This record gives sequence, structure tokens and C-alpha cells, in this order.
Amino acid sequence: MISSLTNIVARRDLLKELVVSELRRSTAGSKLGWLWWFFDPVLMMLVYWGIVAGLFGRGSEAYAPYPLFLFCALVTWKHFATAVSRALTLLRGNERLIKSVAFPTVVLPLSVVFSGFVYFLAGFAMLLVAVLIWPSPNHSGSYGWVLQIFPLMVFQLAITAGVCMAMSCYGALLQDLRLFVTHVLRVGFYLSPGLYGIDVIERKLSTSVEAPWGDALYAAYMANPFALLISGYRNAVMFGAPVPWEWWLALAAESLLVLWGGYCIYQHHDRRVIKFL
Amino acid sequence: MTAASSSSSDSAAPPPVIELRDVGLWFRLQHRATRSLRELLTGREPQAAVKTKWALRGVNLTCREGESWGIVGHNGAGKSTLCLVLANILTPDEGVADVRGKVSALVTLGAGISPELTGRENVLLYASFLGIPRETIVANMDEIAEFSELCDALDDPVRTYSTGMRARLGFAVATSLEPEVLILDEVLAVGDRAFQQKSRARMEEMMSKSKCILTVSHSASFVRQVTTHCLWLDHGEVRMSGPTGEVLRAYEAASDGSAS
Repeated sequence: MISSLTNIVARRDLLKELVVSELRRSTAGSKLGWLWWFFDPVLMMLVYWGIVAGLFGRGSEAYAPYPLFLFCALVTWKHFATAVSRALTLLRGNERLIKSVAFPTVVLPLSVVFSGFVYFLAGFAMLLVAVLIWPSPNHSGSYGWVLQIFPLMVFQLAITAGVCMAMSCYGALLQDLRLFVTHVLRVGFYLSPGLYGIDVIERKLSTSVEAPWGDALYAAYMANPFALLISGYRNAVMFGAPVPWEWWLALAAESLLVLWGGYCIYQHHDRRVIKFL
Repeated sequence: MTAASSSSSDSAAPPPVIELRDVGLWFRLQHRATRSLRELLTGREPQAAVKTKWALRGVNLTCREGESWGIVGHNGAGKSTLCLVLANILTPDEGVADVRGKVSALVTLGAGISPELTGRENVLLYASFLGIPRETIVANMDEIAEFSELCDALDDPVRTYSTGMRARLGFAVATSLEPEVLILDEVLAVGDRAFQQKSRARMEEMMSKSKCILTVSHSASFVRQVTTHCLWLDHGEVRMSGPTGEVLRAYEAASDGSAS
């Protein structure tokens, strides 16, 4: 059973059942059950807030309220990072299943992406409520821009799915990759505007690097789709500001490229990877 | 009496249900289980210098409708690998494998069962892996509960089940399919004696409904009983294939009576 697009569509029931099972599994046996979907991102935010605000006393006016500014980035990044690190061990972890039933194995990485997306949505719903209760002093007042989150979410899903498809193959073929990627993901988080905003980077690069290079470095920094996604969510939700059109363009191009690339990589390795498990 | 002889094979040569032509499949030997970074990035197959082993090589097999094939051979002869190829799980590295029709492989039972979920939830999940439509499995749920003898335990988490209960659950779901091509890999020994008899009866029922059956078994008496043809694999190559009686006689003679 090849993991082609038509087969994925034909087996969407399986994908749905996998996501539902994954969500059930996450709540089974825990006392608070699905409430954890809400507690978990809040606790993570509190830890980062405690470190950043407590230790460094950072809490610039532009970012107020900082906990929500932080939360925006953390739920987004967590969806990506968790899905990628799970994808790396996915095929090997399901070896027995893969070798006993013929099914398009690509549903496994996709189910990880979608079940993680449900946690992301739970966190994001909380963010939307929190923004109303605790609005940013810099909010433009036009709440319509919040609708921008939907296309942003589509791009986020596409990029995460593309990376996860590739990583599930490479993780099965090259076991050491898992250890390496853990560090790459950590660096990736600090290279994305998680704890800070992109204005910091822009200012730093324009003042401390010579003229043409500063702009080039800034462009390179903004090529990171998560710089665009996180800043985009902040614009839409916290500041009521439009996402610049060149960001949309970059995101569309990058997500198409990553999704298509990941799909091609999976197609290429699909059945061949099984005998290496 | 063979289970498959009910359907006639006299009609003017319909295309074979299963056709393997020069099928070959290699495995990397254990000392380097994964590919090198370079091979990975270039997508190139490993070089000849890397030690690989052909698990199957030059395997030809043609199964027509109504035939029941047994696959025999010593341990490591490639029987299970051949099953995986036939079940469309592994793709051969050379040659062509054509399997026409809905295949069901009873190769490993109970794979993919999550201990945290209840029996019922696992049935739904496992059934969707097998490609059984949700309505069908929901309609069959009572029958599955009854057959697996799990009636009341079905809503308990599977981690509270005994090994036998898990195996019965897996067997009940896997056999609720009605495949055209059935592949069996030594899964007869499930549960206690009473359940074994029941599962045997269920399998014979499935065999009578399917177009073509392939069975891997170490039990010569079982193979003799249920198959019309036999394929003898030796180190990944076909040593002999043909009517069951002839092949089994030669196979038993070759293994010097050490086989049961």
C-alpha cells in the first residue's frame, strides 16, 4: 500500500481514527484528562515567563502583556517541535504494525501532526480569550485582523506535515538523527522570535552590521517560516495589525515547497524504509 | 478434502490472482542496520561492498483462482519475507509482484494494539488499519465481542487483558474481513485449546470464501490437509513448486525426517 495522495484520501478514515485514538490515549489514565491540553501550555509559558521576566527583568512595553506575547510563540513552536521529534521514532516504534498490515504508512506522521494540532487549537482558543480579558495597549482596535490566523494555521500545518514526513523516513534510516535533531530544534526555537520580537533582531542587525549585510542577514532571519508564523499570529491576535503581503508570499512559497518536498521524500522511501526497520 | 476445491479452475484461463516474476529482495546484514549518510542523501542503493543478503531471489509463482498454496522451507528460507511481499507490505527490489484482489494477511496478530485504550476502541482502530469500513465494524461489534469471548471486558482498557484475551481480540478483528487473497503465517496457535478449535473453524470458513490462499506452516500435516499446491523455498530461492503431494515428499526426504 503506497503512501500516495490518492491512498491517503482513500484512507482518511484511518487518519481520523488514528488522531482520535491518539487524543484518547493522551487523556486515558490521567486524573485531569483533557484539561491538560489547557494546563500544559500555560505551565510552559509560566516557566519561560519566570525565567525571562524574573532573571533578566525583560518585559518591554512593546510586548505587553508579555505572558500572552510568549504564549503565542510557545504553542506554535511546541506543535512543530513535538511533532518533529515524535516523527523521528515513529516508523521504528510501529515496526510490528507496519510489518503486519498493509496501509499507507504516511498516515502515521500525518496523525502526529493533526493530533498535535488539536492541542495547539486548545492553547490558541485560550489565547483568544486571554487577549480579550487582558488586551495589549498597542492594539490597533480593528479586531477583524484576527481572521488572519486561519491561513496562518494552514501554512503551519503544511510546513509541519512536510518536515514530519521527511523526518519520519530519515529517523528510521538513521537512528542517530534523533539525538542531533533535539539540539537543532532547541537552536531553532531561540532563532525564532519566541522570547523576543523581530524588532529586536532588526534593530541589532541594522546598527551593528554594515549596511548591505544587515539587511541581508535580516532577510535570512525572516526566511525562517516560524519567524513569519509567530510574528503573524502576534499581529493578528495581539496587535490587530495586518500581516505584510511579502510574508504571505514567503509563507505560501515555503509551505508549498516543504510540503511537496516532504511528500516526495516519503514517496521515495515509502516501501523501501520498511526493510530497514 | 481441500478447502479451496469448491470453486472450479476449469474455465478458460482467467488471469492468475497472484503472479510473481523473478522476485528478489535483499536485506542489509545486522552489523550495519542503517544506511550511510551519503547513501541516504543521494538516495543511492548500497554499494556492492556493503554486505547484503538476498532474502528472496528469482522467485516465480503463479496462483490461479481456486488454488491453495502452502509455503514450506527451513527457518530463514524467506517464507515470511515472501508473505510480506505478497501482502504488499514490502516491495521487491527486483522482479514484479502482481497481486490482484483484496489481500488480507494474518501475519502477526495484535500488532498496533494500544494498552491504554479499551477493547472496543482498539477494535475500531485496528479495523481502520485493515481498511474495514467503520459502519461494517460497528455492525459486527457484537459478533466480535462474542467470538473473542470478551463480552463484558470489551470496555475495559486492554492493559488489563491477559495475553490470550489480546490475541483473541486481534484474531476476531482480523478475521472479520472477507478477502479475495488470504495469506496465513502460522497464527493458528491462538488462545487455549477450545479457542484454537474455534479459530481453526473460522479460518477454514475464510478459506472457503476466498479466491486464493497462501499458507506458511511448519506443520506438514496441516499443509497437506488444506493446500493443493506447494512452494518449497530454500535460502530465498525456489527449490521446487507443484502439487502438494510431490513437493512435500521431496521436502520431507530432504530434511531427513528431522522435520515434524
